[in-house]
Amino acid sequence: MARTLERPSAGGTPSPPRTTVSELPGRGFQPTPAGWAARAGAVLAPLMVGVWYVRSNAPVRSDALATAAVIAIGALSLNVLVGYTGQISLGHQAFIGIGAFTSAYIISESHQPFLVGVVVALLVGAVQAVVLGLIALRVRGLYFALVTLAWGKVAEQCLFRLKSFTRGGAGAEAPRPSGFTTDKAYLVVCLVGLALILLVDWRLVATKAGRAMQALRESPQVAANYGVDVKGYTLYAFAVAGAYAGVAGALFASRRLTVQSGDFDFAGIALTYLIVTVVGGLRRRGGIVAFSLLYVLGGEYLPDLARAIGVRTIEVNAGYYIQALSAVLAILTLIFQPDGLGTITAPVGRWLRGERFQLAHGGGALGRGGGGDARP
Amino acid sequence: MSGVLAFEVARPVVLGVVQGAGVGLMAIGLVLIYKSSRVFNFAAGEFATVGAFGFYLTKSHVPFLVAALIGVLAALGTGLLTERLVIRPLANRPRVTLLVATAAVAIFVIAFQFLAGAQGKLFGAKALVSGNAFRLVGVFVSWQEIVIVVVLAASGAALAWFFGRTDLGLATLATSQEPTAARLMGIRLNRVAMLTWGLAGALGGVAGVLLPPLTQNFTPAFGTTDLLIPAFTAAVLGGMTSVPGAFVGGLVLGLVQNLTQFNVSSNRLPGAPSVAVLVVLVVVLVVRPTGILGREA
Amino acid sequence: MPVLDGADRRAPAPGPDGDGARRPTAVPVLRADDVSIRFGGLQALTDVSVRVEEFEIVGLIGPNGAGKTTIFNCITGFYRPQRGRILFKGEDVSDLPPHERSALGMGRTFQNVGLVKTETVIDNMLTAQHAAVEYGAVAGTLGSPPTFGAERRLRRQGEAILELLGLARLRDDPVAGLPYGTLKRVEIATALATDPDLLLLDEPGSGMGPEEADRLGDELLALRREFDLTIVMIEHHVPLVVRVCDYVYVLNFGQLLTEGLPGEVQRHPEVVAAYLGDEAPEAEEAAERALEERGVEA
Repeated sequence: MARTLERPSAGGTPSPPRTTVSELPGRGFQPTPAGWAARAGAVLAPLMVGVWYVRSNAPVRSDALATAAVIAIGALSLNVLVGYTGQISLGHQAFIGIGAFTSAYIISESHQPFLVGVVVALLVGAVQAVVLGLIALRVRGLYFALVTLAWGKVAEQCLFRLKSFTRGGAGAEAPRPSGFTTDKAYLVVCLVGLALILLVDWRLVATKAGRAMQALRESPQVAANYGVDVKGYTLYAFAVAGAYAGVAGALFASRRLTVQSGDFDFAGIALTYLIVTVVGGLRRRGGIVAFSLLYVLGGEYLPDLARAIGVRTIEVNAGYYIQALSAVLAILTLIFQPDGLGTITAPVGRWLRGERFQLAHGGGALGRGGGGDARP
Repeated sequence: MSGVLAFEVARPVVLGVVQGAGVGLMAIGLVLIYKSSRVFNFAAGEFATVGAFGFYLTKSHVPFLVAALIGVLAALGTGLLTERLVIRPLANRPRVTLLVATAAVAIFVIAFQFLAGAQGKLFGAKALVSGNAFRLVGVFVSWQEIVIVVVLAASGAALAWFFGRTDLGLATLATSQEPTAARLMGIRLNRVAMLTWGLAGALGGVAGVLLPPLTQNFTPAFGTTDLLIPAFTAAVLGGMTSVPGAFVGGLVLGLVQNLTQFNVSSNRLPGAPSVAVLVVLVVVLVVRPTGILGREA
Repeated sequence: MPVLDGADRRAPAPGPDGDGARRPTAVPVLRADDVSIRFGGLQALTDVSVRVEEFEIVGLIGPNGAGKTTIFNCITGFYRPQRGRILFKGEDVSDLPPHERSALGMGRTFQNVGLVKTETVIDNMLTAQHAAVEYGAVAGTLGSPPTFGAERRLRRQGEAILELLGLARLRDDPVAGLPYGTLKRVEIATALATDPDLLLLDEPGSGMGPEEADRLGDELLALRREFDLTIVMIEHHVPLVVRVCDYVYVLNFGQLLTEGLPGEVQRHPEVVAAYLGDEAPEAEEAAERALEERGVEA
């Protein structure tokens, strides 16, 4: 800024009652030593469970947890569009599938290392998303949702069946990086990927690009008036979402070792990401990760539960319990609790950072109409 | 006429018209809901699937027409339930919220089909009536195709009449344009919403009952995977507001899909029909967002 | 480059510092030349020309629907006029999108409050400094170390502006819950955060009583000094306009009805007829009083 406010203010400045920032209410809260201990315990306990898990023959398959990490990254990608920017995508399996096939191609056809596959998948994911974003600049809102839906279908039916790119129906091979070939070791790779994406997502919303997205979501006019290039940042959001999805795809590919077009089945999978994002809570990173985990655990244990209470289950279709349940949860979330699981995770996060524990804190998912009394 | 022409043009045209009529009927359902509730109904595809299951699961136990009626009623019920349980509680929310909610309904219905035992991929759907009616440009047109087209077109025409001529139909149109005024004039908005959602469900059900015999089988969720996108594109061709436009749009989409299906080898370009649909959709939205067959109604 | 179009219609006027002359400069901060715009069949603006000199406070008045907000939208780039051009600090900005005009130094408030309602006051202040941020979007997203310090500076700057306007205690409040009058003030704070040379205020005094409007007047005069601002404001409070404005344009039916010093304009018979209407006597009285007060100040 050319001008700073440090200089002494000129004489006639009106002086309404001033409150300096340090005097602000709520600033002074400091947890007691016992409070800090509780917080440290809350962080350490899951870590210790994690360590125990890796060292033992744990009951949950590492493979399932790796899946949870991949779903979380995919849902965070969707969150950039739906949550931060207000663009809807119903073709998210295309985003992730493109990353998966790209990575598989780079690793097994171009004989490049795993990391190169991830990076290229990230770039290709970003580029395809930007192409879609260019359409979003012309076609808005619900109509754009249709375009993404049709794009997902094209990816599944056409792109992922191109022989040169995906070996057609046979499936493209995507070996894991050497040294990380076991499920447990590969889980670590996926968790590192998730951690990096979370870090980037944190910085995204804490800096100018994230703020620009949130502003243009609420009002393109206000955003432009703040100096935000609305078109540019819409495309930027698509690029970021595409990059996340590319990473998710690359991790997905090597988790399964082969990728097939059927893995990106439109009805089942695209909408699942949307549901996970909504139930986890739009703009609620913690909630999204938490629900991704619950989604996978639900897929693992709900069929057992169903059998235990005497519901006849068909083994191959067991995964649909969690899908049906999540769909119901999504509708309930939209009706009653727009912040989704974030209603719980966000206060916990603030508590861990040393604030008081309180549940209520403004939010508003898909935008609950954008705040009451601002119109004259 | 040469056999090549028959295969590349005449056959896809016949199939396209028949399937397009089904797509058009679903598109009418989308338009009705959009007009009355301003919602993009992503559950529409599953209305068709529910109709298909209702029909084919009961067909062997009850007379043919009763089974068809059960299918349509099941879809109608799904439409009504969606309105009552999902749409009404969210009535004042942003439209994107409603869109996500209808997508969740689709997911639920799809998952339910699999849980209820639809473990196989394909369901047999025998012909409704057998035999060929006549030969046209070198291809046979079956009685079944004629029956399907006649029923579908008659349903479409009945709806166009209903919304163009009757008091209730006109009331529905009035609510879409002036909700407040409509309420003041004594039109009960909830009733109108129930009517349109029920009708849209039934329309989907009709399409779901009639279309599978064409291909002799169907898969769970086929309404969403195969019909939803063409139906939306058809509705968009009609500007999302025109009932006849949506039906004609359906025919156009049926033709586009079948002509590409028959003429583009899947070795050269797999999934060509889906590409064609995307192209039509994007071109219409970018070039003429008000629709090509549409007139503001 | 624009040249001074000799035919200046203005009489020498008391300038901002009351030295008795309004000197037209070669390069005014803002010039709108013969701006015309039509929406469908409605001619919203016809050949409207406006000129604003540096450090002036210029009032834009006229009845509802006269085209005041429309000319704001043309100036800030939200509308593209069919004819005419907009010059900002001597540069033709007619083809620039709104965000580039904002970055060049046009700050603006909206009639019905232009804030990101789902965010807090301080987050709005941060977003408003978008154009001034020192780091690139990608560097920020990837968490490059310098961005952390830059963010702290943005926050301090935003807090400083809030304190200056007496809004510091609202810092962490979500915008959505604030009362209307407060929102109008927060919006001025965000407009200041865009680091403007020219501030365009759309009815800053709406919803305010006479005393509050009075305070707003003081505040605008102080802000001009503090931030070296040039201000254009659309306002219905005639006393406020008369008290703080150096020059006034009157719009009616999309055309310039008249322009001049506040005192002159306010007595103009057509203005009285078109704008003040039946309330003319009382409004005139109030304006008269305001003018006297100002004389005392100067």
